[in-house]
Amino acid sequence: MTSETGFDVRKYDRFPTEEPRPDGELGQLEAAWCGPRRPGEWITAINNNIIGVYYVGAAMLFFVLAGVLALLMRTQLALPMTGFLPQDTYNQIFTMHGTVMMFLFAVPAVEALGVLLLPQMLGARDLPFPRLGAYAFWAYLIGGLAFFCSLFFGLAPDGGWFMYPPLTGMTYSPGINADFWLLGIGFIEISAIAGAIEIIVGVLKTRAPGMTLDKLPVFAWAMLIFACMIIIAFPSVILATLLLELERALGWPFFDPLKGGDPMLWQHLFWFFGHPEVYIIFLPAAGAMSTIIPAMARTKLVGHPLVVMAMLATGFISFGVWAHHMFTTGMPQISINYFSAASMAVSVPAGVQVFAWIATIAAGKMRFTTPGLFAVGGLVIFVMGGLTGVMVAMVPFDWQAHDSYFIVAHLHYVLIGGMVFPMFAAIYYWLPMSSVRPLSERMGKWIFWLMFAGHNIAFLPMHLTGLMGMPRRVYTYLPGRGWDLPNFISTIGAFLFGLAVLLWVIDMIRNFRPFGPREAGNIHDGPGLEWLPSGYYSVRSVPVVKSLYPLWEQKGLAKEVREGRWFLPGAAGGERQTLVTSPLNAEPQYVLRLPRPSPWHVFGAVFTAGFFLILTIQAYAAAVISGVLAIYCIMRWCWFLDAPYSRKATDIGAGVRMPNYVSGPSSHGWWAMVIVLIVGGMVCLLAGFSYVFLWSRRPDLWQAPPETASMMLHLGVLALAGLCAAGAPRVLRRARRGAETLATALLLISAIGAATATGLELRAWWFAGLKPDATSQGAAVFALLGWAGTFAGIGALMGLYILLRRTFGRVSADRPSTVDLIGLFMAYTAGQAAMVVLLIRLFPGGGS
Amino acid sequence: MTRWLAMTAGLLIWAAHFLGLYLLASAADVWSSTEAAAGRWIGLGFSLLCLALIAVVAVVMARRPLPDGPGLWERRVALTGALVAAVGVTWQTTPLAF
Repeated sequence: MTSETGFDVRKYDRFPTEEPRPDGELGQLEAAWCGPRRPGEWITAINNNIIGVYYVGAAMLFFVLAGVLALLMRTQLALPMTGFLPQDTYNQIFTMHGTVMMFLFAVPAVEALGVLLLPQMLGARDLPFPRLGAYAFWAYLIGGLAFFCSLFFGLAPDGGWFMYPPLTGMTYSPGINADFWLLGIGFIEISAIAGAIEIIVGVLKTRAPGMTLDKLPVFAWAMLIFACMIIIAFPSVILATLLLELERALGWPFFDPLKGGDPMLWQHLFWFFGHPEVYIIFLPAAGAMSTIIPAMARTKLVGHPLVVMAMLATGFISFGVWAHHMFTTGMPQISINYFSAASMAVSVPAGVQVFAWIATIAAGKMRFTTPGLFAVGGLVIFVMGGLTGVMVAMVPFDWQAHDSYFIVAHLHYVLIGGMVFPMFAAIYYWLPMSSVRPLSERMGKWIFWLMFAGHNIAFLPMHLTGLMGMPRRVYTYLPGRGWDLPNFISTIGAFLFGLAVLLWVIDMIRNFRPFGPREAGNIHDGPGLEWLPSGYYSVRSVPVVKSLYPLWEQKGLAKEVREGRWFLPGAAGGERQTLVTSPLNAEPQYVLRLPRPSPWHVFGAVFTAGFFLILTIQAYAAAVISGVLAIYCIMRWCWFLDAPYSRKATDIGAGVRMPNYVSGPSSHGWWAMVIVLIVGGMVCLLAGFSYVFLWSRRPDLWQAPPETASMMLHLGVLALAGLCAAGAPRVLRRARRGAETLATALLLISAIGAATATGLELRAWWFAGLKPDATSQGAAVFALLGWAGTFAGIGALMGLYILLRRTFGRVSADRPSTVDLIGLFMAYTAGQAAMVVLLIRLFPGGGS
Repeated sequence: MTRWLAMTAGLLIWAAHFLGLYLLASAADVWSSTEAAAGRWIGLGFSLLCLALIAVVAVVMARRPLPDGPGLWERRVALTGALVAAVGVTWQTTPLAF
């Protein structure tokens, strides 16, 4: 095998080591990775074993809460003309049910599974940014609970989980209910993106040596694709919520046709996120199925490369089907036809996976214990949902079924079969990793059959209700339309489902010991590294992976790992460390020092949530204070990063020494920054799309740009800013006298330059007579410049931060990562601002 | 990065194809009519270009010297991805015929 990094892979042959491990090595490892000892440490903990359990628990809490809302809705709809829920309350409840299920349960639940399982599955001690993961969790929990509590004050959003304007504009939704959705969800999505960054870098950079792409567990593949999809899709909903909030708060008419806006823009942006969201939810669940089914069938996954290809294909095509939610909106016929064809094509990669699972079940000896039942049950339900999916991909049928209960049935079959059942399969399968004992098998079977029956009794009749003409989102209906009986049956099914969930909660309370002294062990004879004996430190030593099914094919591996005979068997210097490997061949690159618990990320999450939530109630001064405190906490958190290291290298076993520090493209921080910039770039790209889209609606309202000379000046300043940012790391690396000061100065010049050029561009448009609240052009131009300005503002904060670090002697040539990353960010900021200036000045040119 | 690109090249072209078709149709809607023959011919030409690119990817991947373990696996994923992409591009071009 050709080396990717220059690492001599023959060094793998030195392992497993034979000589006895030093006395006290295990004790030092346990001490470095010890769990919380005081109550407060349970909150400041950052270990994935703890945060992962919290995360899954919180997601399941939201599942239960949203499920209760579903039962309230089904009670209301059980009979015609019931008065159980007033209309306004019903609107809030159905909006919250969809929103909580999609944003607070489905995505966080699979992300939580990733945080909990991936380190063990990859043979890492933890993911590379544990504090970021913990921040993402606390932000999600605090934001999510506050968002849910809006229901108790009658302030919950009531415009549907899709929040279409003009219904959600100020005219028809004058209260702050919609603002809760826009700011709350926008904020929670930021937390999801933080988690995605953690997962991408984790899967690419912290795999056990030898875990090449063909040996990467399917679940990790799924999580990698899932996280990449979040990075591409979620910026769209962040932009959409931002634009609608700007329209509501400041009157910028993005969606107001009277001023050149168009509500269709919301639908495009929302569904560019919303449809991939379905696959974002489905793929990790599919990854779990592709892991659980072979384990339960005691055989290898049939068609493994095809399954990976199918997941990749699903990830790609999911971005080409968003408009199939818009077949009835009057889009051009040829566009509708394209999206119809693309929607049917999705069934090809989904079908590949389904047939691979069926073939695996057929090839092995399937054990129908609870995880096996949930996996197969999920498969059946998902296939049924997939078939109705192909039906609604056909445009004439969709025109009939659109906004009817047929769609409610379809989406629940897809989401419950494609995500909820696999999630329960995953909980039953992997829970023994985190608990002293598994859940009750007897109760598990009851729960499965109740859930399976309840689901079909609830949702199968809805196909008929929909075909009989019952529209979605109605709080009641008249008798005598033939809808009474199917609705009543659906309600019975929903309560059976609810009973199953209640039994599961009871079983969890009875049996689950999340932080017990030992695990239940590999009770399913699972083949993955996650079933190695582990503690808070994950695996005792990091093995070389030689198979996709290491525990089945590398005999004696568990014992050797437990005895510390592989890589990184201790905690050198009493530090928390993990091995960073290359993204393709997983060759060891360096030893990453992981942070220890501290409260700053928790405070940061509290104040960030506070900023967004307080903004909702329009207490601007308090929101600003909360925002400033959030920035302070995050700066404190970052302050201890990139700190000096006394040892240059660590012996990771058998005399193999690895550096303790690298910078540039090999470092995990560089990868994370690049991903952050991709997120920013996606928002900017979609804002550019919105700009062109709005122009195409009402070109007659658009005015000519300011004179060209000012554009040249602004581009020149931005070029200078970009050059300074790009030059700072190079200057620092030359390590000449005063290099630290010069690099800091260059970054400051870059920050000031980008902010100045953006401000001058805003000023030029303002004095050219363009106002953001007058026309869609004004709104779009100022939004784009606002986005560029936000980056310039963050750049200014980074400038302040690097100045402080320089003042305190924390900038040095032998630790250039901080300067590298700030330089990268600022170069991007200048480039992005230049692109924005070019777009708004040159398109559509001289106006119409 | 090159290996990642090689592995996903077919699927990337497929993604570019369906986004490109949408953009072409939208542009045609603004400047003329999507029913106009010119728009359809441009769409067809774009699809043929994408198919040709997928074929190039497949040939390049197939003609590479036989790699070892992970490389072989990556090639298999790339080739099946190219096949699926070719089917997808062809299928999504069919609306132009109606």
